[in-house]
Amino acid sequence: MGTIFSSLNVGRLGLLAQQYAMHVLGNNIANVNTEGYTRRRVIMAPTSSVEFGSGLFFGTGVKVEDVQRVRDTFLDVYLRNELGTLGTLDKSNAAYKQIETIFNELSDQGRSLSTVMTEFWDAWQTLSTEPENSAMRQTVVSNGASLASTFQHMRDRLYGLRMDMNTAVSTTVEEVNTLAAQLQELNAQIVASENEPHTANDLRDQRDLIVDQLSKLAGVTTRDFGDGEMVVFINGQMLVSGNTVRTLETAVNADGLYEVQWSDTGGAVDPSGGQLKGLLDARDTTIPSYITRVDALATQIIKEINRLHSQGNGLDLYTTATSGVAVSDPDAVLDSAAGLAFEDEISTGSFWLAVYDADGTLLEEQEISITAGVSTLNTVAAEINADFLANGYLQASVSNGEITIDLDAGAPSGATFSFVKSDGTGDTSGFLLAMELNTFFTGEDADTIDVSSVIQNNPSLLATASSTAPGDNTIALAIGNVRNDTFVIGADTDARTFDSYHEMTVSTLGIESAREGSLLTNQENVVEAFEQQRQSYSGVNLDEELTQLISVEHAYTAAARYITTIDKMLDDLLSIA
Amino acid sequence: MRVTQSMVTSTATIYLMRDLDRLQAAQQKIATGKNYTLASDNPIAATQILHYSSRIAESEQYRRAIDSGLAWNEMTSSALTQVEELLSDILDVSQAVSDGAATSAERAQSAGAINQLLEELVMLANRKFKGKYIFGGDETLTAPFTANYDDAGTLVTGVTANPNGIDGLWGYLVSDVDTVTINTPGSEVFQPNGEGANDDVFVILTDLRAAHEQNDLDALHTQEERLREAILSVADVNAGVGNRINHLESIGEDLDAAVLSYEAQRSELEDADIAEAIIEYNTAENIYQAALASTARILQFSLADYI
Repeated sequence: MGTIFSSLNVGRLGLLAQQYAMHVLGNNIANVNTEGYTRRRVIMAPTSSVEFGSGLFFGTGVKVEDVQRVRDTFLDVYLRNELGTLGTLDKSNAAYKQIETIFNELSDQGRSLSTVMTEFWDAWQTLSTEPENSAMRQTVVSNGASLASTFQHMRDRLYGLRMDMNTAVSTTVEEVNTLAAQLQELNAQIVASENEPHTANDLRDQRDLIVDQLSKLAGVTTRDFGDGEMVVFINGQMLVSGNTVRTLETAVNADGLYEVQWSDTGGAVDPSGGQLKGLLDARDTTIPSYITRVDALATQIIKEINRLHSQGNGLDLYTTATSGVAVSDPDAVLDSAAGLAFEDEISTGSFWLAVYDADGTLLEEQEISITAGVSTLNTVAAEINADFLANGYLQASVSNGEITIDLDAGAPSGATFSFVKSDGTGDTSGFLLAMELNTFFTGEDADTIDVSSVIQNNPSLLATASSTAPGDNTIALAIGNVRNDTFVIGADTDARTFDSYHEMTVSTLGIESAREGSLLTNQENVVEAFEQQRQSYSGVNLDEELTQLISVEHAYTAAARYITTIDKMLDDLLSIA
Repeated sequence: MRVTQSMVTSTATIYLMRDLDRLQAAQQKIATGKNYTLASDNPIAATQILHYSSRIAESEQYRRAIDSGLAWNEMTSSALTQVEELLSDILDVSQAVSDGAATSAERAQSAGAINQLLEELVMLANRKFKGKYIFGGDETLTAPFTANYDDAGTLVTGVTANPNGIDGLWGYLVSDVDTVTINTPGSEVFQPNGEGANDDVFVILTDLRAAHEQNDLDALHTQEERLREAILSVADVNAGVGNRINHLESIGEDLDAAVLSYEAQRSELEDADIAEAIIEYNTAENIYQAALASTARILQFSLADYI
């Protein structure tokens, strides 16, 4: 049997242990609302027993063996996987919602592309009922301008959205770098401060929180080698290991977009999940696919309207006409080497130039032939000049890659010319369409589409007729009816009308956006379920802590009472003397 | 399962947000009166709505073209009726002096009357509607007929048509596939076989007048016969215009029916059933209120209240 003082020491250790336990409880309660906090549990163990020479072993009290985090690391791994997917879906869903707003098809506010297209066709059909009416001509011009600006505006907003995603890529990369640096620091601190088997709980909580954030940003995976260090990978490539951290950087590529790469090797970073993947997918796949569709529609509309328009006459005929586009080289073959956006439309055929006097009587008309693979802008100009040499009514000149056709010295005052033969035969070569001569639109896609300035300045040049009669509405009718014709637009395989192509775009967008939306909702539920599980395991329950509080308080009171009792015993012992 | 305070808080927040989202969606439906605001709300319905909307707009455009075509043809028909009447008047004038009883003086007088009526006919043939010459073919801005006078400027010696042609036809698009010819060219009415032919109305009339002037009974009867045929031919043209009016009207009625059906189908898809939307809203509101009430209560309890 030891001394009475050793019994006193048992009481002291009891008091101390309960005080520690109380402290940890207090810390748990204080951190009930702290994000990433893992509840702690005090592990108590008896101190080693002592044999007091009687052959019997007596306990010597209690000690706090460890303060443990209550955490399930498997749950962490699952949760982080799901967080990565959530991050991706989050961003791609945001992109889809934005694109839908840009298309703005079902809303009463603003004017959607389909409305503006309909108004444009309506204006042409109305013009076909009154081709002489200059107010109707003005309406067609302004509805055409409104169609062009709607295309441009949509294209601008889609492009702007793409740039927003691009900026977000750069911001996300910076965030990943900051977090990775913090993580590396924590790794070092944890290794330095941990002393087996005790763990640096607060540092680990912080590190777990950072890994969660990294997962959401870049879909990282982790490996814990048990020595206190955590190794972090992005799609299998190391981001943080031990004391080293690699940084990501953004490099501007040929399209002016940020490419994410490793700073040290310059190798591409291809995240398997996380917001970064969502942003890159939206920027490089989703948004461009809709830009392409909008462009393809605009291109086809420009092409079909211009094809018909270039074969018609307006109320006024031309006194001078300059091509709206320039070739890169006037000696280059037009249909393959001259850099024309619509060079594919040029084929062997011919167009006509007809000169009329002031009274509208035909003076001369000549057929200008185009031969695929042979004709260049200079040969066309030369042919015009040769054909009209005898009377000197017309001359053509080429400058800066543009062709200009003018009345020549021989033309009587008030003479005008047209691109249509007097019997109504128009261009069969596609030359006028490709060079933007006598066309309604200029441009080649949704970005560049506009109503030709020639037409804007003089709507009487708007072609409605295939003859010079003001009441002839043949061309206006044909253009008004283009809405019912079908074309294989863009990368489509089937022929569709403009309207139904656009309807397809909107329905694809709707279906994809709805799918992304429901994937996101599901993913949110999955993450929520895992987070609940983690909380359920690691979170602080106040009632539980309070229950513990009562029990620890009682233990403390009992230990104190025990000390008082031993004290009395000492008093009794001393009073013997 | 172990439940922690923060689980209760976060679950409560999530459910409150979902309930509020549902409430907001129900409210939006009532406020906009529309079932869908984004294509992703229902991609199939959205595409159909777009389709119907563009069909409706297109049909309305066709309807406008038909109305404008109807107005043109009604005007044409009324002008043709006047031409018929005018020609009949001329025939009457001529017939009054076409038997042997009439004197040459009387015939000279009727020649003057015929000349006057002929001038009237030229004016009628040059009538305009909405700024366009009705009988000008596609040369709508140039008077189709020009009367030439003798040196004294009183007698019409002949009537020449616009040299650029008065036979141009033009039509309107009244459906996806139908282009209906709208105008009746002056050549068909006044010069079925070209200027100067035997059935050129103006030639008949100038010749008739000449017969009266010259007191040539044979020529007078020949021209009267030709005039009778011309009146029948104008009546035929007018009947054709009437048929065209009926045709346009029936296409218009078909279109109206189609628009109605498109509108009904679009409305079916697009317009929210307000009664249903309000019930939906009330349900969402009840759920939201219940969730708010229970959330407020569950967060109040703590063991601390009892120790």
